[in-house]
Amino acid sequence: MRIPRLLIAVSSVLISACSTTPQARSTYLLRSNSHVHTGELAKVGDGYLGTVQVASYIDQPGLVLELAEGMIHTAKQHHWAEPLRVSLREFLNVEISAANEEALATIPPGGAAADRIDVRISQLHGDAQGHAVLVASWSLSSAKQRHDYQFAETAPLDGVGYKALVTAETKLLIQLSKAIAHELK
Amino acid sequence: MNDIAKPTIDKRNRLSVIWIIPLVSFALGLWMIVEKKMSEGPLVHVSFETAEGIVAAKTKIKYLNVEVGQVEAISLNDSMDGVLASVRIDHDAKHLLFKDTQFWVVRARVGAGSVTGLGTLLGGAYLELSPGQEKAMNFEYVGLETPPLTPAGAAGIKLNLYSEQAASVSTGDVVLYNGYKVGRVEGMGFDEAQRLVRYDLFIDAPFDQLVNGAVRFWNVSGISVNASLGGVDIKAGSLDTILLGGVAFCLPDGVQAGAPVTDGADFKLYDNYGALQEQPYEYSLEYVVQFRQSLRGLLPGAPVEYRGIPIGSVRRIMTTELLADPEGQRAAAIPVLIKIEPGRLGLADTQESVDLIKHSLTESVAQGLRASLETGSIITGSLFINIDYYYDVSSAELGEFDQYSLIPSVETGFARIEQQLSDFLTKVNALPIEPTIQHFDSMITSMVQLMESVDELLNDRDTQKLSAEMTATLKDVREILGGLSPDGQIFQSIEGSVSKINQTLYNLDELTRTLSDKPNALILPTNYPSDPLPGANH
Repeated sequence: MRIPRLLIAVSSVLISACSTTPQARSTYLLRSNSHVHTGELAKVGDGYLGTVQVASYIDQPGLVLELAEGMIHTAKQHHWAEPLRVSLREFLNVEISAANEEALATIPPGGAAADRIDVRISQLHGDAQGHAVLVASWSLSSAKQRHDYQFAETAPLDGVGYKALVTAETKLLIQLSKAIAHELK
Repeated sequence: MNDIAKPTIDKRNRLSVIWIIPLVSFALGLWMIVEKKMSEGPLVHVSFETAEGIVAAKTKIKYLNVEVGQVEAISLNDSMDGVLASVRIDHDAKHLLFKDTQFWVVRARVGAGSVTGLGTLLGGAYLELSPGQEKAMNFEYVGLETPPLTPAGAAGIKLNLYSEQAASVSTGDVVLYNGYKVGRVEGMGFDEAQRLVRYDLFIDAPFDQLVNGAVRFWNVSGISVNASLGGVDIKAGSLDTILLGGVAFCLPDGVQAGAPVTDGADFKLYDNYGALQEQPYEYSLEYVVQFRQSLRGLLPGAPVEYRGIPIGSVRRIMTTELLADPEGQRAAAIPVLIKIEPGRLGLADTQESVDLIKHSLTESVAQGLRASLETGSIITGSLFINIDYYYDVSSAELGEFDQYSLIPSVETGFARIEQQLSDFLTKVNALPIEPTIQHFDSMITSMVQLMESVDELLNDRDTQKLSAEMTATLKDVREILGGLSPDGQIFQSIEGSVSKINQTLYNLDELTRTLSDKPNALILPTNYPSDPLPGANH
């Protein structure tokens, strides 16, 4: 008598589990929209991208939303398609090259004139007021000197939802790239 | 006929009128005698060495070229070594006679600086009178053999100059201040007590106000020529002083005016202006400095300096005191007496400055002030004493040597280098050089053997083969490390793997958190609340 009851209970659980519909998850790809053509790069400068660091709270798949001052929510249904430290490096590399009108070197060029770009993303999230927030610090260093800069901007969301948040954050990252390219010139 | 009357004879005894004439004559004569006596001036006696040019009842007495008397008689004095002129002074000129009234014979004189009395060649000599100031009447005078250079009672000041040697200054020479004649040398003599030559000076008023206790006199006679490495320095006064001699005085540079002086004040006569510049100060301090090194080249008069500023000079090397030392402790160091003059430091040439320097030196020695013997000239080997602060010396205080204060000394310059060299050589001598050389020799021998072994090893064929293998190995290692570079395939593969591991770990972390919140989530379905929407104004 005990075995049939156990089978009935297990069967009920499995039926219940299998009948549940999993929650949908959206993934977002951080990519630059700058024009990339096929062929040899026309011009490669002395600058190259060194390290790209991200804060720990955004170094995970879920997009981050600041619900209140100091209180964040990591989205479970809205993820980045790639780890941010990887996608950010690619994104910045392309955007800085586009703004600078010459490609960054993929490997460190020799010589004292080479400018190394190191970027740290301290904040990248949406806030409760409907803005995207980007706070970053970056430095340009060569064999002889080093200059440090900061970037802190917000951008309003065009609509409601994580798609709009990703769009706003992308705009902010483009601004950051232009700022770096401006100093690189 | 008998009628002739008899004459009446009046027998009265009456004085004849005729006697009036002799009486009047007598009265007139008496009056004339009295009048002459009353109008006659006093008779004074003036003694001279000789009566040359003086004629009795002819030679006049003059004052300011006005006749005031006449020589009445000339006679030899009692001792027969001079003459005595009896001089009658006019009655209305008797007020010119005082106790210090001077008489001298004016006759033609030819001197080094002037020719005087030419007028007496025709008119004859006369006696000049110079009234004095002392009121007492005197009828015995000693006549001057030469005219006085300064009238008695003239306004001014009399000074005495002393010199160790008779200079080319003589009586009548001028005294100059800034080249202007302000007085004269009235006389000269030898002071037996001080064994110095004395010159009597008279400075006319108002120039006597220029004289004070700080002025210095020097001989400006002739031409001073000083030849040195710096060139030839020629100093000369006016033409008068070059030919005839003279004395000048001034207040030395940097010296404050002294106290006013009175008649008879004594001053030193410097040989020349250079000597005055070398020693223009009156007040000084004397100290003793002892040196253990050779004093060859250190002479009396050598400068004593403070960081290059002359502040005094060396008086003498105290060899006498050194030999008289009974204890013999001073034999190792030779004492030198030095003189420090506060005036050279810009202080007033007074006793107060001396006390100030004495107090300052006492404190400075405790703070490291020391005396040292320095070389003034390498060519001549002359030495001088330098006083300066030294901060690497042991503490000390002013000592005593006889009645003098003793300034501690240090050895510097060549002596110090010599001492340091000596110390260094002593240390070198103390080094174990022979064992060290033996040890070094054995070490060289070992190194030679080692090099020979290395050479053999390198020449060995197996070693050369090993070198080729090592080169190939290093090439392989470089290729492997190249694969690990950021643009290498291995690096790319490892990075991808690490990224996947991180993703897996994140998922595992999320699963763990879910099971922690809801343990039956593995079996029962879990529905999370929808994520809050950005831009929805939460």
